[in-house]
Formats: sequence, C-alpha cells, structure tokens
Amino acid sequence: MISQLSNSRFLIPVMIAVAVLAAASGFYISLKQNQQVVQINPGIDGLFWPNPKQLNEFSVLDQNGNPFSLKQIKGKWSLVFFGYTHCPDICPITMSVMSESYKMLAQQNKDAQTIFVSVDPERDTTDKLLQYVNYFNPEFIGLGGDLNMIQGLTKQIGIAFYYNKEGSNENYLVDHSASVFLIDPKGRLVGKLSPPHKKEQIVKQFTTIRDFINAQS
Amino acid sequence: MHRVSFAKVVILIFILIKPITLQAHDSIILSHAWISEAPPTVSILAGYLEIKNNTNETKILNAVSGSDFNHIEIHQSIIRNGMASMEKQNELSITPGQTLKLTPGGYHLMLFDPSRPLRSGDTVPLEFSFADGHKQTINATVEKRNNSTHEHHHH
Repeated sequence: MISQLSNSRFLIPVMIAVAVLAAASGFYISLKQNQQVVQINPGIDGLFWPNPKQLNEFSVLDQNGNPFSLKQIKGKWSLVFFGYTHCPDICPITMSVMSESYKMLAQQNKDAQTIFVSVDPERDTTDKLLQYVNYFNPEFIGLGGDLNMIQGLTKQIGIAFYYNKEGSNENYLVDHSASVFLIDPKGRLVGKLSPPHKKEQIVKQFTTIRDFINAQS
Repeated sequence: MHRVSFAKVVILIFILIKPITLQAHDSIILSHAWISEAPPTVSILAGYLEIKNNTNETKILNAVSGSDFNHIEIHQSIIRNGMASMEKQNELSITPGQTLKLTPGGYHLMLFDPSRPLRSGDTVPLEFSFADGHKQTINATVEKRNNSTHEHHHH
C-alpha cells in the first residue's frame, strides 16, 4: 500500500481526496458555529425565526378579477396554499382541511384569511377560481393572473412548480408545493406547515406561531 | 300436473346457491366506492375504493371505465420533499388475500370530464377490468370530503 501511495498515479487522487475532506470539514465546522449563533429559534414547529422573509410588492388578481397586492396581506394573518383546480386529490384534500381549520380559527381570529394561489393560470380563469374557492368557503381568496404575476409571489416564497406537459395534452398535471405558508400582518413569511395536513395541527401551529410573533413586538 | 320431488328442490337450491358461495371464496370484492364531490367547474374528480382479492392468484387491475366519464386513469399522489405530484399507474397488482385501498392522498382514480354535474348522493357505475379478462362493476356514491373520517370511510 505504502509503495503504491508513493506512486504518482495514486498520489494526485489521494491529495485531491484530502483537500476535499479538509474543505468539507471546514465548511461543516463553520456551519455548526453559525447554527450556534442562531439559536434564538424557540423550536416552534414550522416557524421561520429569526429573520423571517419580508415580502416585497407583488401584483396578482383575486377571484373577482380585482388587483391583489401586499396591501391586502398587511394587517392579516394569511394561510396560503399553492395548487391548481385540475388537481383532484391533494388540492381538494388540503382545501377542505383548510376550510375546517378556518371555521375553528375565524372565531378567535377576525384577521385570519385563507388564500389559494393557482400555479396554473392557463386553465384557472378568474371565473373558475371564484367557483373553486367559493365551494370550500365563500370567504376564501383565490389568486391568479398570468404566469408573470404569479411568479412575483411564488419566487418570493420559494415555491417551485412544474408542468408535466407531454405533447398537446390539455389534461396535464402540475407538480407543486404541498405545504401551507403563514404570512403575518407585517407581510413577513413566518411559517411553513408541512403535509399531511390535519385541521387540529394547522390550528395549533397557527396559534403557536401567532402567539410567539405577537409576543416579540 | 307435475309433482316436484324433494330431491329436485334440493338440487335446485344447490344450483342457485353455488354461484354465490363460489363468489365469496373465489373472487374479487369491490367495496367502499366513493367519488369526492368537487366544485362545479372542476372537470377532474377523484374516486376511491377498496379492492379485495379473494382468489388464489395475483390479479392485475389494468383499466377502469364508467359511462359518466370521458375516461378514467389510476394515479398515485406522492409528496416528496414537500412537493406534491401524481404518477399515473398503468396497472395495479393485488396479491391473493390482499385488500388494496385507494384512499385520499394515495392511490386514487382520476375521473375525467363528467358528463353531468355530480352532487353528493348521486351514484355512478364504475367498471373494473383485470388482465385475465375479468370485469366487475360497482356503484360509487358521490360524497363530500370529510377529513376527520376519511381514513375509515364507509357508508
């Protein structure tokens, strides 16, 4: 082995391996140190803290065709889900859970709002959005517009979506985030609620995060 | 006038009952079939059911159809790294004794373009075709989603 190592054929790969290991361990240590500095996070499930992302201005259309921007977010606690109306399973499951959660939340939180954002503007017209959100709860907000408008919001929240279009199939599927996001009255992205969604869990996480944020200011 | 003998009656009863008992021991049982009611403009619905294979061989479900829909596909919902996607299944295998459950968030039927508005309480026939040529029909009931009970859904 030792004689082999001295062979230049092995020396270079070994040196590279050592260099990579050294770099990786250095990175790991700095990461660990960073984590220690940022230990103010109280360990609340789904909470983005500290430094929650402040949303910048965006412009989309609601289910009535009216402009919807950061103005309509400010002053409200918003639960936001991204989906599409041609999605038969995950989206209606999530929407009906959100409908049940909203019934429980709205009693205690007059400033709570539930928002469905369509990531499929090509098929989800304003009229379809209106009927879709109304079915789950007439107080729900449905957001759409064109792809550019929607990306003004999705890119800020870090939502990815992908169209599975093969040929000219009009029944294409869309891969999309299954999480529900929480935006506070200051327009900060303060939480992410992960699937599978249950109404008790949404209510609990919403309440815990809201109480924590309110206690900070 | 013919006198029906006791023996003939016994044979007749046996002939009538035999297919029923055969079905119970040597068949596929479809149950708990329901279709989720959806907002009126939605053109793709989801259907769920349980398929029990009571035979001694693996059965392969390879097509589902229904006169109320343009076509029907079998899909699986998958949530991976927080991303939701659906994967089309060309067939589903059900091993002897297995009960395959199509439930919200997992395997489900995708029912395309209903020919009439389907509201809670409506029933819709669905035909299941297996690779061995066997076909079986069940009436699915349209129901509103009820998330607190969906895991033990029955009616």
